[in-house]
Amino acid sequence: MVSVVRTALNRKLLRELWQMRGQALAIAAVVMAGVAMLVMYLSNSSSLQDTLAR
Amino acid sequence: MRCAESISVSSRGEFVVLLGPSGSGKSTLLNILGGLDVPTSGDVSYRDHLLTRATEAELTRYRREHVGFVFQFYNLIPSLTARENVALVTDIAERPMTPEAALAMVGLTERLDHFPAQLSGGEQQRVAIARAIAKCPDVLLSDEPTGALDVTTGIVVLEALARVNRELRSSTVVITHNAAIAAMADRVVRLGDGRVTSEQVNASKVDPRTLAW
Repeated sequence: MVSVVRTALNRKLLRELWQMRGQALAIAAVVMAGVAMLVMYLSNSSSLQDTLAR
Repeated sequence: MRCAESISVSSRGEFVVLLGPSGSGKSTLLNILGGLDVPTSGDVSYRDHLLTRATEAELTRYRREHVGFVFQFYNLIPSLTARENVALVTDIAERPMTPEAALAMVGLTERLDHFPAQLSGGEQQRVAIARAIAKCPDVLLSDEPTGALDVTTGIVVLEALARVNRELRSSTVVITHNAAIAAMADRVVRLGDGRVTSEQVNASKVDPRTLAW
């Protein structure tokens, strides 16, 4: 298990990450939406090409 | 720009006030003494170290081991409590006092776990002083420590500085444009246009509580 040394600087890092959790979640959601769009595009494109080939 | 000639803080525990109007080179001189800036010409030495020839790493070591710095606008970390702000220094210093002891010296025993936003301006400045003294510095440099404070709060901060100077025997340099503060010093150096215009040794120091401006 990873142990975090409880220095003031580490506390600052953890506390500030926690304070910006909303922004972090929003960024993660935007990235996930982008990845989902890419996957949908690729699978749709592949299906359409299969259909055209038949 | 020419900034300050022939200044020395010779005896350990001396309290020096650098007095001068805005633009006279006070902050530049303090930053040079504290190893934050390097002059374009001239020499600055601390004991047997020549700071003007020091590398970045040597200057960092000099600041870490010997210098405490108090800024006009406190520069505390907003996401850390008073105790943790002081612990930032005690975590890396060689022979520090505890954060609790440093905060007790400036009369903040009751405010250990308060964040800067929960403290008054004077209390924040006293946390900044505690942070500067926690490493028991040989040199304590204060850049306009009362500049952002009212008279009553300013005197509390000056009392804290005088107490630290008396008890830790740190050579203390306070820069100010407030002439009233000069009375609490051992020595007063007046600056004007980047030069030392006069130097005066006070026969007796005044208690900060008796100051008014």
